[in-house]
Amino acid sequence: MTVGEAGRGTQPLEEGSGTPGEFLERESLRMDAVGAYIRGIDHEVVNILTLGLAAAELLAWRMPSEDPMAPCVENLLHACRRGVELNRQASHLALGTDPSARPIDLTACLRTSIDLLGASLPTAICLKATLTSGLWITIRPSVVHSVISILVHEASHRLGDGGGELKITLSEEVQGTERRALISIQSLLGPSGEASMPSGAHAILQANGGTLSWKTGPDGIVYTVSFPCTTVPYYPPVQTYSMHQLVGQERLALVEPDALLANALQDGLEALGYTLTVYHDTQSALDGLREPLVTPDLWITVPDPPDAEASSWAEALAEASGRPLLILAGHGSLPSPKGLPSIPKPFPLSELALAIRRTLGNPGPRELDSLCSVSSSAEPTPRPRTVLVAEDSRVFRNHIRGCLKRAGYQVIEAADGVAALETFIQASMSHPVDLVLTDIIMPRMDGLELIRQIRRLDHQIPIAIITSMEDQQTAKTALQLGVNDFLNKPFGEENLLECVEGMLNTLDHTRKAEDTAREVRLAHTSLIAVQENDLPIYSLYEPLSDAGGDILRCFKLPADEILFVLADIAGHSVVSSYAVASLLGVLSTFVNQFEGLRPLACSLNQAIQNGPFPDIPACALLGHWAPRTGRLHLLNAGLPYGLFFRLDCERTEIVEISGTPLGILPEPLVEERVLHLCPGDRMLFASDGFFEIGSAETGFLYHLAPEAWTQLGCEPIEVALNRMCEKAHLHGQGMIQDDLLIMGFEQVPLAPREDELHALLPSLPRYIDDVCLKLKEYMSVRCGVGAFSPSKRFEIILAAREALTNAVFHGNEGCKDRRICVHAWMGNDAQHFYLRVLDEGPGFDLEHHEAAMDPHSERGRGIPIMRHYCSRLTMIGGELTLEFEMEDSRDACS
Amino acid sequence: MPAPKARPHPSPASELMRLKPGCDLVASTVEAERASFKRALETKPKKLVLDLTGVSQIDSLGITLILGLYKSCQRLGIPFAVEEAAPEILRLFKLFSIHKLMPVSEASSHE
Repeated sequence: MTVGEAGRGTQPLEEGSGTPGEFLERESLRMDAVGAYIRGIDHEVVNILTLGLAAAELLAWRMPSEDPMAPCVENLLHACRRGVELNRQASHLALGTDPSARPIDLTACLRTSIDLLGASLPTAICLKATLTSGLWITIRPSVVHSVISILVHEASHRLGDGGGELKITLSEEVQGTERRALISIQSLLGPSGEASMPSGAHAILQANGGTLSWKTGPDGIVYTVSFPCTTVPYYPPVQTYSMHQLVGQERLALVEPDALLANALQDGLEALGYTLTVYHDTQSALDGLREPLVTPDLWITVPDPPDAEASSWAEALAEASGRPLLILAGHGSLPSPKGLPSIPKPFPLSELALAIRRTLGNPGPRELDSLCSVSSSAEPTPRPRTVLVAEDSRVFRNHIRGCLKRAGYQVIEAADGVAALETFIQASMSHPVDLVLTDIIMPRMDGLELIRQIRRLDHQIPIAIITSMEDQQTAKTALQLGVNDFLNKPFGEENLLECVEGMLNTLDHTRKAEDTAREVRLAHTSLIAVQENDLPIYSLYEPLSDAGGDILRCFKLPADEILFVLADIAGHSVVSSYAVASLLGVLSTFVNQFEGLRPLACSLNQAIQNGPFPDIPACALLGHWAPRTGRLHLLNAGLPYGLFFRLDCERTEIVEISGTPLGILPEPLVEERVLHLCPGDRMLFASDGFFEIGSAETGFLYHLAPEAWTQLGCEPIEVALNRMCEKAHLHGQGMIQDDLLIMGFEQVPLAPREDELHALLPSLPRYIDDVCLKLKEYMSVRCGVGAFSPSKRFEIILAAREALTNAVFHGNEGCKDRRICVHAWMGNDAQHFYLRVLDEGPGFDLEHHEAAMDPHSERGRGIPIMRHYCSRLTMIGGELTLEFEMEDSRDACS
Repeated sequence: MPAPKARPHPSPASELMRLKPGCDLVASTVEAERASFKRALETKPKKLVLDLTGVSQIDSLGITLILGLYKSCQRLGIPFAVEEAAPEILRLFKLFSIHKLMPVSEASSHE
């Protein structure tokens, strides 16, 4: 690669630079200073590079090859390796190193030579250079300087006093697999004649592996110098190895003053199964040697720790320990004392591991535990499992750690529940914990709470608790919280490993099954249900064309309530798309002023009629869901169907609500329903494209969907939605005529506030009395003694009885398997008390219900009683809401 | 089905029968009470009094029950009256103008 052509005449030396001799001397001093600097920072640089290599390599091992971050880690490794090579090249300038062993950048070296020669040549001689970059040779720079100087001066002599032009060219010659750097020096316009061999240059080159040739011609003489190239590619070759060549279970002691590097090496070697004791200074290493808790199989040390008293630290350590020793040498270090095995920094972890195995005299493959189940490919991806041990007893913790580490597990320890939870969360961001082992009684946060917290974050991770035989009640509680296994104290290493391996095997099988299922699903369809804005609502959308007309928007309302709007805009044209955008715009505005579904529907209806697309109506289903109480309020305007899976009876009902699309009539004709969802109940709503899949011959999906939705009741909600979509495609046999938009959600456990009454009762008369008693107690106790006068209580109870009676006999039509939901609460202003009674009937038109005040009338008197005693009575579907005005507190007390 | 609680107390001297439910006349009890009232009427008393002592709640079904009893008595020519009604129940009766149909007296303890 030619990077440019440098035209160089005989440049005068810079002002004040003195004679060429003085220039050379200054240049020599400058180079000495650079060399001293490089020598000074060399120690730090090699440690940093080793640290980078160790960290990057450990990441690469731990990360599955299909991980999206894997290429980044690979790039990091390459960058570190490149840094190693560059450092190796730079270090030849360092004082005290062996220059002959270091590659140099020939281009840079030649530029220096040309600068120096330019100052020493007669002014009549013009020096021109064309240099190719990227050529590295292993030779001392002085050799290059000497040879070039001799040849240039030889050529300049040939030009004579008249001067002329000298041309220096650096190029590359490739012969087979061999690359050579060619330096040609050509004198132009000089006198012709036979040239003699420059013997000095020839001798120097012969002694240093180079060659010299020359030829004369009509244009002058050409000297050509050739050196073998040292290839330094950007991506240095990676040593290939099998993972089982690296792993081991020996105990190692490491003496490394650089704490960061020591930690990185410890992490890496422990990941390979070794047990490490790290010392940062010689004194602690000697202490460890005198009072060994465990005797290391191998000592690894830097040759010259800063606090070493004797210069022969390594020899002394080898003698004192009586164990094999491996030296972590730095650049420029002297040969290892007494021929002790060494590995020069910087090195990747894999090279260190190979050196360890060589030093231990066991370089062959080893039969180890699951860590070694890695294939022997050149791209190892070991996954040492990480176990989080939460245990407040240090002795017991150490025992568990020792057992697990010997079995090849990575262990993270925590002395209490809080520390364990923090560690768990932190680890989840980098290298997630694979298993949790926790004690029950711990300071700050006990094991049960820890399990509860972890289960909120990860429902799958195996958790085992350490318990005692007599602690069976705690064990039962833990089991309810989702613990997978128990370790009864006291337990041995065998029990511990059996428990851990069993849980991890189960986890592996589960994950594998999930992966398989996911792949199968992906193979069948590209559709996957996605979560809406972190809300517990999932949706799945497949537009028929680019101009899809179905939309779903979910909004979080105060008190963790959720508003959703499912809409289907008529048509699939570009205009329809604009209409969708327009509707979305006004929707966002109206949601900020949300006061209820009916006002929202009216606002949308008006906005469509007054907007830019009044001819494009929108079928819509509006939903207001309160997961806290399970109340689901629906308003339908043209999307009539929904599926309601009831967990208690494992049956799906079709929720059918009529209504005309928005934007057609001045006042929308909509219908509302309120449903009460119990935990585990599920809803599915979809645009009409979904329910209308099929034909008269095959049947429409509308008829088949309830059964299918019931069958999927045990699947996670998002999975169930995916399956429903698959079934829709299957039923439609690929003939989908409309956009497909499906949404679904599952009722979470109810969590009513303490200051409200929430009850669900079977639809039987005798339960009315129970609820009235509860209501009476609620008004007396939870709303505060004296909040209600006896007379007010009587009125409220009487009205509540009427509402409940209406629900049992009219709303639910006496069906005993139906439910009634009662919800009572005091208004925020303490001026109103509210009671809601919900049945499963369609409700009736309360506004037009004539009061049966005539004692001779045969009609019901429930509504008149409610109307008489409450200040406001409303009905949505089968839900009656009674609002009572509270009395003045003085009246209440009286 | 709760057992009937209305206790017919025939009085030979005046042939007055007092029906005393002793429990609230609400959705959960009206069916049982209706059966009890029916049996009482089968004895053809000269006069029937519904004693509401101990009755604190009467819902719309209870009112319908009382009105039904009143109509049956009217049909059979038996004078009918309600006695010992708690003040709240009396107010409820007034809401439906029941006191205009039959004599209703308030509980003596509240007088």
